[in-house]
Amino acid sequence: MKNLILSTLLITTGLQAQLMVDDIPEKDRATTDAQGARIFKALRAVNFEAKKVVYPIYAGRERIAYGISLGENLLLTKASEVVTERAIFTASRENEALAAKVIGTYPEEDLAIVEVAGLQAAPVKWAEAESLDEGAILAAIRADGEAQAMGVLSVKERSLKSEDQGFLGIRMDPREIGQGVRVEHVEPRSAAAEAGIKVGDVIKSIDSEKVKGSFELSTRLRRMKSGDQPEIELLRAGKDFKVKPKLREREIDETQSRRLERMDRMSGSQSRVRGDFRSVIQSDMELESSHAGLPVVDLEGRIVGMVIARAGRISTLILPGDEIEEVLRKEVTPFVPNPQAERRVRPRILEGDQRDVMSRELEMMRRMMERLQRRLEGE
Amino acid sequence: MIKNLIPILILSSATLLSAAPKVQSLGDLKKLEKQIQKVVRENTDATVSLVSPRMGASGSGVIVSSEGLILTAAHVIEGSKFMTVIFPDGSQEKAKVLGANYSRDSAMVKLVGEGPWPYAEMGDSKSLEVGDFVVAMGHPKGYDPTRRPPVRFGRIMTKRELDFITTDCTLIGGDSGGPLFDLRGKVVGIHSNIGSNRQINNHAGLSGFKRSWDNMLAGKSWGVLGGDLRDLNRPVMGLNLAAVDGGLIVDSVPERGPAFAAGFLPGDIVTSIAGEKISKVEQLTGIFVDLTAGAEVEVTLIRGQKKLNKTVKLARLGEIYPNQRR
Repeated sequence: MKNLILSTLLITTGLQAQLMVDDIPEKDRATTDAQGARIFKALRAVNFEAKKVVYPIYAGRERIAYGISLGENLLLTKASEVVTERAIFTASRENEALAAKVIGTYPEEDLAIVEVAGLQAAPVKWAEAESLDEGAILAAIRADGEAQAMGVLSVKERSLKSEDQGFLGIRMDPREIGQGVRVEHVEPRSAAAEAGIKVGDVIKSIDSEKVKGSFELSTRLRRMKSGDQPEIELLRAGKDFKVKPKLREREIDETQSRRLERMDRMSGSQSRVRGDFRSVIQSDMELESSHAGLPVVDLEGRIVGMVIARAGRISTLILPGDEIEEVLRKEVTPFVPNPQAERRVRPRILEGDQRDVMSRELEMMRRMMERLQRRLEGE
Repeated sequence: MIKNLIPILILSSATLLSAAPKVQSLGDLKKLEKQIQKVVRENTDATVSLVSPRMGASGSGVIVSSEGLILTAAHVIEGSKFMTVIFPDGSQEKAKVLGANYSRDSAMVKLVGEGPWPYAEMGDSKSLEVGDFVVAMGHPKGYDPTRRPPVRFGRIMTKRELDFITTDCTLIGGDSGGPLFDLRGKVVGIHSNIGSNRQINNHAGLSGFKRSWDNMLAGKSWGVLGGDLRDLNRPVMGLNLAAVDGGLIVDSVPERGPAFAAGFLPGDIVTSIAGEKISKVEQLTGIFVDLTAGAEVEVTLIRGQKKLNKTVKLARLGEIYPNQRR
């Protein structure tokens, strides 16, 4: 069942690269580089708490994530980046390799607890992120005290969970704007079907508030939760009547158009687990998937969260500090490594141009394969 | 001579009185943060999502007057007469598509309802310098009721032809048509397209927008995305020109063209068009991009020792070379 309430017609437009030059002139590059260096230097003033608690996590010769010290020789990191590795280790402040072991996970939040004998690091002091407003400056801090990236708070704390969005199970005519919304289709066995909503009904209001069109109605519903029972006023064959459907969980449609997918893919690596979090803030800081686990600070130096996912060109997701504290109070799921687990194949780290060249080649190959396929099918 | 002096003059003044804020300390960063947050607070409500109900495509836009004039990208309105406007709070309204200059990827839409509507103030992009801080908003990947328009912060990375600006405010599909603000909270650009590098995010500069203003407001649509020189609807004078000292020399005058009718001769030297001094052929693109066929332009030329003024009524490229095909 797809997202029926928001028109499935929706395609997101544009931003295809036109005949624009894909680079920045040397002189301008020098100006912005020097400016960037000054900003990152100024950011050193906020690193003092974060640099004490962050540790790199390695598998083989590659750094795969970061961990944040919880005290008692424990690190907190992103589960999906470390649980598939056969052996992981970290480095002490004296740069000695220290073996690390995943001992438990919080699967819902994609968090893992890693034990490192002899780490002896002070525990992190989390801060809340709720008081941060959009546009607040944030930085992800490495163990050497430098910011890996700076960005702003793009979107305030919210849930990405499917049960936190109400789902009625109808499709509406998106073109209609006026008094109410005409029902075009009712999904069988959905909340709408159970409440007796039929094709041709006109939905006039929800909880006594009038709706002008499909977007208004879908917004109201998606801001409710599954289990909520809003009062919906309908018009059928000239008569008004009311229903109280019990909303279901909205199946979040993660598939996006190929154009959008391409834009995300060409813009750096993405975490494999990057959705369905109960509470995250979103930032525009530019990281790679291997930067998960970095502590995020505000301009007061407070540790307001941990990087939990790189989720596309414009988005880095951060678990807020107070949310993490709450999760850690819950029982941890003990971790039993799967002996058959194969070491996952990691992509080579690509630098700047290399990535662009490879993604262009990949796109060309994809097009060629499509052409061959069409020819095979005799079109 | 003078040409060589200009960049030096700018460079030395830039180091002394550069308008671009310099960040040297934590205090500077905190000041910057306050400015960014003010820009967001004041302009979120005017940052709307635009959906074409017929085409099913969605982009962004920004309201710039209390009467409901919306600026967006030309490729967002392509093929639509009306659009659905979705505000950050989820309410929806109807808007009428006015005009567009596709070469600048610029377009105008107007809310049908009377308002007053929340709006952002307009600035200009000409005065922006590389390194200036900017804030981008929009509705990436379409309208999403779980969030307000995501905020992106960045800097001017470079300036390009036809008033396009490149910033490192990361954009993605759905952002098209959304606003770029300077730190005073004024609209300085409209999101247009991206490169694969995250530092290449291109915006149509507002100064270019203003030059096409009246034609767009009057409902005219012209130009080609990416600026195609073979566009047969492109307005032209009907002059083949080459650069010489002091202007552009007329090489030939096709007989079907308006310049022929106006009496231009090979050997004439064009020194200014529509009030702008001309020294390079490339300048013509910047002047004609805002004009449509039928418009009249004043041309100053030198013939022998004499200075002459002529008015040329622009024609479509296709009228002068009717046998060419795109």
